[in-house]
Amino acid sequence: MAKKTYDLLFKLLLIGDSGVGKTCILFRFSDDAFNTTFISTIGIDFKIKTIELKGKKIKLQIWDTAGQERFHTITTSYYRGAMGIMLVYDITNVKSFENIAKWLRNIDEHANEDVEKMILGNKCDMEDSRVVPRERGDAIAREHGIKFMETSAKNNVNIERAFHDLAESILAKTGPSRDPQDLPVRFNDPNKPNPPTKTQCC
Amino acid sequence: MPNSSSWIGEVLKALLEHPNWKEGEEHGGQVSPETREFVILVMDGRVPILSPENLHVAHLIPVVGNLFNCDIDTENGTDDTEFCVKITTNITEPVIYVKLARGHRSQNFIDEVFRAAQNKQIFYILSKFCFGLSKDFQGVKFASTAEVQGLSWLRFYEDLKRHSSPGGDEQDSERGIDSVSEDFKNSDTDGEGDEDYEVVGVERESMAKGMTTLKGRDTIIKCVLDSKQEQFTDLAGYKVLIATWNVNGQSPGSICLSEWLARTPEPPDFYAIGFQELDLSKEAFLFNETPKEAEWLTRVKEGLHKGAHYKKVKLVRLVGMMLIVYAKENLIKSLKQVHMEYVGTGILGKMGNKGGVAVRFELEETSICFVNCHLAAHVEEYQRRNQDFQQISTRLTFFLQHGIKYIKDHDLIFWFGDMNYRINPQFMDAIEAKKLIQQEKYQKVLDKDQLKDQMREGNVFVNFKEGPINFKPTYKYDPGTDNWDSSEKNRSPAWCDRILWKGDGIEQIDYTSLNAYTLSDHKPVSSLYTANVKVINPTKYRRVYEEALKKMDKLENEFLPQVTVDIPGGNLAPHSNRNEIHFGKIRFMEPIKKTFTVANTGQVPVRLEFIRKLDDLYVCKDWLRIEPLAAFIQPGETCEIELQVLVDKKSAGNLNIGKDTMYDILVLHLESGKDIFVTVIGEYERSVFGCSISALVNMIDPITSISPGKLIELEKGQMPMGVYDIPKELWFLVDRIWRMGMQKESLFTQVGLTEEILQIRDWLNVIPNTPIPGSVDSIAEALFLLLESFPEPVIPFNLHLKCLDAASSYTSCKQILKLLPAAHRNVFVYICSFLRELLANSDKNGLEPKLLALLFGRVMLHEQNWNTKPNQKVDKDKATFIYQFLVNEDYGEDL
Repeated sequence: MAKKTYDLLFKLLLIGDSGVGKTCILFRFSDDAFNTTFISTIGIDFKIKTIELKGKKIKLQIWDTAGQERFHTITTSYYRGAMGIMLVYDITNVKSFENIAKWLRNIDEHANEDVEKMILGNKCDMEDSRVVPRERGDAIAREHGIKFMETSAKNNVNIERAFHDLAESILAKTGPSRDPQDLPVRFNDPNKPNPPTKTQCC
Repeated sequence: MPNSSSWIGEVLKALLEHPNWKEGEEHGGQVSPETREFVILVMDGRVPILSPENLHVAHLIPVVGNLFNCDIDTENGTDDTEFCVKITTNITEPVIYVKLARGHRSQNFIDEVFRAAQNKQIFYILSKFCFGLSKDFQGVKFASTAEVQGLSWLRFYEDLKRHSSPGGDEQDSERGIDSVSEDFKNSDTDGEGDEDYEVVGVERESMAKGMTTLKGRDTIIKCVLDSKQEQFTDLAGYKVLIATWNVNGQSPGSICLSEWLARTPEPPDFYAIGFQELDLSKEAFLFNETPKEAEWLTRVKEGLHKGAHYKKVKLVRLVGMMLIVYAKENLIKSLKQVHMEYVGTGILGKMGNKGGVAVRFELEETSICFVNCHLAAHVEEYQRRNQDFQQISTRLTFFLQHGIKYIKDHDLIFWFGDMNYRINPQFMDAIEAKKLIQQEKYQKVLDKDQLKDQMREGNVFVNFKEGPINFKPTYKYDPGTDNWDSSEKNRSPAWCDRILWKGDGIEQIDYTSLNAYTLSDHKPVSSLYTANVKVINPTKYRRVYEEALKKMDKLENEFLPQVTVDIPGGNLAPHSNRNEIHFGKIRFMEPIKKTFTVANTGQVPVRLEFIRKLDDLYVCKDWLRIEPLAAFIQPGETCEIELQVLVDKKSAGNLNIGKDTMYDILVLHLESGKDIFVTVIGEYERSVFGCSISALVNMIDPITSISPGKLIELEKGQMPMGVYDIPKELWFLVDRIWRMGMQKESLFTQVGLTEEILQIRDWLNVIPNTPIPGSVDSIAEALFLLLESFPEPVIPFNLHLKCLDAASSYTSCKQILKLLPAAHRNVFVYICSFLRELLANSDKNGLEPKLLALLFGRVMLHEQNWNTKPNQKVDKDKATFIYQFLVNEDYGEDL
């Protein structure tokens, strides 16, 4: 029986200045790995990851965008259709934090109106080089009514949580599924007459 | 490319509408009145499918009812990189083995098969799955349909198959497909243009909506889960008591069976109780009716262990063979897919005097089957007994909700009954046997046991096990006594009644006969087991399932298209400037080409395409050309992309004034994948070409010696009066022609040399103290180019229509001239005067006013939109307008 292994598909987007660690955050989340060499993203890339939330399998399609200034006009065109956006800054880079306001404006202009947002202060492992106090991140997030978290892709701090929280906010908005027939049968469903048996597929 | 799937749909339709198909439906009754018949048509074609002729029926598979099944074959070469799909029907088995490499297309393929199986649809394998990925299909093996009998209507399709195969009879091959092919041909040519149009920019839309999914993920996940079942299941031991008794047609009377059935301190969880020769009457044999069923059932119920409450799971009886399965009451709910079946192997190989009855169910993750049998009698008939066993094994079929199962398909099998195997009389006679039995030397006698012997030979009960026998033979006694058969036949004792098992996780606790029962000529036998059943451990299951999901995600990510862009010299650039192509200095009319390589470093074929940035109309700027705009790259292969930069009259003006820069970002889109940005950078060397008349008449110094800011200022200035009357560059060119070539033949019609024109360009940019280089023809062409490059032509755009309207009247034409800005008017008069002078020399240079009017009409009234197609009427009117000034006698007055 061919059935979906996910109930919902969420498209998420990572935006923020160049070098704040968007790709690393995605890489940590999707592959649970970290690479110290910085390779600037020249384009738009994506990865998928399936998570489970409230008994639902949610497939996240996460888009990683080029952060470089010169690509901004192009990358904003990818905002459309995103259900959740992660705004990432680098706690060791004031400019990247100051630009959050600009990124928020970009979202207002180009993204869907009801897009879920979250601000991430990345590189929180580099406490010694910190120039953006946590409170400033908190403040700007509060000001815009957005969730905020400090993360470290390197030390795997809050990465999973960030994506789960963002997905959860989207899920909360999605509401109950209209058509129960649309809901694919899950594995290990106690009501299902035939639990997975050997080699039987249909 | 034409839409191949709709064709195939059409072809299928045509085949099914064939009269033979209808005939086939009638034939369907032959197999079973309830079943319908389906044909799986396996269409195989050359790829890509360009016309219906490329399609042919590769294989036909008859299917009856819903017994069309598709499995992932976990045993046959399934691993991380490939897996095997087994498609089975009930007629030939297995029918198709398809070994597939893991990947998108394979998933699509499986999805199609599964859907077809689920919907009981006619199924076809399309070559669309092969397109571009034929390596995926490592081996497709088909079973033969030749042996299928009674399906004569199939012959039509068989013929079709034979004839339409490559190398088959061409004429006949048309018979099947011709009826549909003509329509396809039409749609083919019609559709082509539209298809190309649709491709542009569509993909990103779907990508942005998250449409990229790996179909068949679930199948893979299931497959992974199946292969790791032991990692997420625990074993739970259940006590199972198996009992068998040939009761010789006797009524139970008031017999108490608890000694047979309840002989252990602990109550078993399950009972499987088999009887043979329950009723030997004709009524039982012919009509399968017997009062003894109820009688024995009552005694059995009474005899069950008193330590637990039991409920009947299933009772199955075929004539004298009866099997009753009981479970503890609390377990009943856990039993899934409870089914019973029977097979007769008696008279005519079909009747129920011999054969087997079986009950099966699933408990947690384990399937269990109980078979009670009565095999052929008589000492010498051991081969018939073997045969009966085979018959039961192959014919006994459980029809489950999701397909069929044979006895062998169960995890745990208990097989028992009156198997009728004897002590081989050739090696041991009755007297010796009885003597040894008397001494309880059972093993010596068992060495001559036919069943043991046949099992050793591998003729029966292959892979089944039997526990050690430490009890007297169960046959044959004088009924009512414990004495061996005293009849004339004086039969040798034998262990006719046996209990065997197959499957991991069965442990025998005991195995015994009950000699106290003297009702029959057989003694009852029973055996207690622990059956270990796999139970899903939710925690472990979750972990394995999540692992499988993770693996799936990983696989899906790996199967995304991946490329690297290799720009010559690009690896020297800082990483953040990767994908930048530097063209260096770009000059007017001087094309420069650069190439870069796109390598498919991923695992799937990649279709790439340069796409528009969301709000742009074009893929790239007008001074850039990309070749090719789209390409298809196989894994491991590369594709070269050529970029050409050329600044011509269209783009020079905007570049001069900074309205445009030599900078563009190209979006290289991978179908179902990411977008890569490629930046094109160049530095434009401004030139007088593309400058406006008003800027040039105010430009005292050569253009190379003024700053970009100054130039922009000049362009913006729009000063009514210039420093010069006409652009000096114009004067230099005209003067040069005047000096060199007034009498030259075919002036303005001879093409100049590109190299010389570029030299003239450079000369005009610098204005050195040397004469303008190049032949007069090259200078003439440069003059054209200069006039044509004015962003606002000599006759400004807003006056074009007026000019065309007035063209027939010199007076009106002159009126329009008055509307021109001074510098433009000066240029116009200057050029016209020059042309008149040229015409004065027409006896030498052979120039005609009409030709000059046409040539100069085009450049002095050039179109605003560079892409406007030439229009003869407009060109003629423009020429007429110019012509007025070239031929009228009163030229010069009022200008």
